Amino acid sequence: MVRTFKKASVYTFVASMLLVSACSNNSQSDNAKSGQENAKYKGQEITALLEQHPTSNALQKMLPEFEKETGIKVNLEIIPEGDIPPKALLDFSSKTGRYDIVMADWIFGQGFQNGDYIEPLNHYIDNPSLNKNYNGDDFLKSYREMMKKDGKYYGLPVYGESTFFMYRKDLFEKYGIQVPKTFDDLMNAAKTIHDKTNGDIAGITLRGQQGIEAVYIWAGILGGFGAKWLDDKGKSAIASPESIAATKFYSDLLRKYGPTGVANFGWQENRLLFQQGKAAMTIDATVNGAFNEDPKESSIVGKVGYAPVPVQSQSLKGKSSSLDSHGFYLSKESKHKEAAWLFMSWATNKEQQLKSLKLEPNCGITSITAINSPEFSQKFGTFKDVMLEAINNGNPDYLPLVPNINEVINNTGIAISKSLLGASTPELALKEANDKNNDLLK
Amino acid sequence: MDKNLRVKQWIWIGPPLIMVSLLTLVVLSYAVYLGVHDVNLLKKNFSYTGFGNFVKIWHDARAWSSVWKTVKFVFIGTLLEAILGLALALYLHKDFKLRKITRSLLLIPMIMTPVVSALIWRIFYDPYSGIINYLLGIIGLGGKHDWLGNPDMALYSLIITDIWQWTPFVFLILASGLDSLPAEPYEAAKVDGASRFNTFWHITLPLLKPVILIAVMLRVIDSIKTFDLIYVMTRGGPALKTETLNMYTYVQGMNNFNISYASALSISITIVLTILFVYFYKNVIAQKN
Repeated sequence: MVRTFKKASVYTFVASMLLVSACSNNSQSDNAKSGQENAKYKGQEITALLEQHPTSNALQKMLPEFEKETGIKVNLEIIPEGDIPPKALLDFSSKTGRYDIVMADWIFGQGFQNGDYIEPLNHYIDNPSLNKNYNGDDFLKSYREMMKKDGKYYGLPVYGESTFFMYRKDLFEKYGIQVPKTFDDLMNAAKTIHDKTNGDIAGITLRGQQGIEAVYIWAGILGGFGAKWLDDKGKSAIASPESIAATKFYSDLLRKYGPTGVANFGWQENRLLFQQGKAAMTIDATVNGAFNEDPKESSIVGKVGYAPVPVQSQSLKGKSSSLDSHGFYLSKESKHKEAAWLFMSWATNKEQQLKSLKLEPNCGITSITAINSPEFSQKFGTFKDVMLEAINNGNPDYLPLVPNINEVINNTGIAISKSLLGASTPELALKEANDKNNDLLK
Repeated sequence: MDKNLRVKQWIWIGPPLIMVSLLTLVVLSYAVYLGVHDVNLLKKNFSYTGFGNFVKIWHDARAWSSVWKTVKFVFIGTLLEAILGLALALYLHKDFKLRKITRSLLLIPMIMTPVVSALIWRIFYDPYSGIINYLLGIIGLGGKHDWLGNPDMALYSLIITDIWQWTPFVFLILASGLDSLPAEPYEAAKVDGASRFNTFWHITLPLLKPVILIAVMLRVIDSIKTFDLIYVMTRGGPALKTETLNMYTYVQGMNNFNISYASALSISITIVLTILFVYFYKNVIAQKN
């Protein structure tokens, strides 16, 4: 519906342009008009709060082009990803309008939307005088559709990722291990590696740090065991038998065959251990592929195989690969919304993404054209196909999309950490977290 | 007092007094305002809840367990810092060749930004490439200790870092205290033929007591407020074993966005500590002086 309307409006726009040029009979008036349009925003100043990420670095380098073309002054404030939500929320709730654009994970974006802090974008997407930079069909569909609520788009996807299974091809061949399809296979493979190397090489490494780190990987196992975060009525369901089985599996796997110190492993520690060749398998974000294949970073270049995250249950209620997308959101308090929109749509369109790919290592780009470019294949060809498969099969409900998601993750993370360390049984720990989550979801 | 002088006094004292009280009062009353409402940044609307948040804290098991961890962290850390600091101060009080440079080198950990020292220690503690496990491995004590990931060990690993960083501070205060002690009692003790231990026990320690108490009090206040160290090294994990009250307040405020609840927690901490310290100061430190 939206798209037909958009198409219709594009046709109307083209027709009216033809009419204008036919009437004036002078092609120069076209330029004059677009010049006028640009002049409309000249001198306006906008501020964007961005995550520390290759995309943001690339944007910083490309920004002068945009400023020159439109006359809009853009201030970029680049801060660590984890600091974005509190900073943005403090600004939103005090209504200062300091940030016109905020970049954040959609799990927070949907919270911003729920708090009525950000603008729906359809008005801009459908406006022919504003949508010249926007091409919705060029975004990977999973990323684009994730940021839709009640039929309206609330964000433009900047970068995204899924999770996949990574394993050492050389070790698998040496010890005659098949690529695991189920979690039982995975446990056996970890055992084989652990036993054959006398524990010198960890069978598997996963994130284990209390909080979002462990939760992000655990959620894949949860999905693979056929469990979900929430039941059909929106109540917390993490104390279900499937969820307990998944947590037990996660704890057993890491306690028996995981590396020392895993209880304090975040993304960084996990990635480094695998890159240094000290573990035979891991499940983590697709972006890790880029690190594995980077000779400056990794000692296992070319030795890594990529496959989908295993599943246990045939009747999957959830899925085992994540779908995570980070977007640009337009603040309701912005004083220059149209200028901000122009910047957002410019920054995410395919030309900028192609350039960004050349400027900075970034396999999370969202433009189909850029992903299909030769540069992308040359840089990330080893895992491109598995990555796209993971994104297409990615579970948009991988994490529970409720407004107070952070608190739900915090409660659940404590349960996982307790179970992993044997400080409590999975049953008790999950029951406690489940009750706390249900108090929140009332 | 001359009336003219009194007016003049107020001209000088007035403006800074107004500034300071405005700054403190505004901030404090805003904190109280938040504390008696139920502001969550993710929700647009909020309402007045009175003492609701404080009642909730009273029944919050996680808050009480974090109090216990805070007490452990503060007590063990401060105690060992005081003992080590005193030992160092006494040892370095003697004259020897490299005394000055040794004393300055000792102060380095204290000058370091806590985030930096936390990062350094995180690397030291790394089970695979950390220097601590490497050295322990060489002397045959096993090289696979999980300093920060083992729930029984994590809090103590943090305390060790805290001791490393803040013993120099205690040392600095006690060393200057030692320098300013009168020489007469020592001479008298020498004439009487007192042993070294007796001199220490009956002269140095009583004379130094007020200084030690001040150093301990400063350390206790600072130690309760510790945040950066824990945030960088464990984030309160594993299994909540290192979540102190301060860390829990941060999680409630900046992770869960329950700003009001976090304010109520901070207010409770402030009230309890103020009472404790006023009592401590009046009855122990001020009296001795």
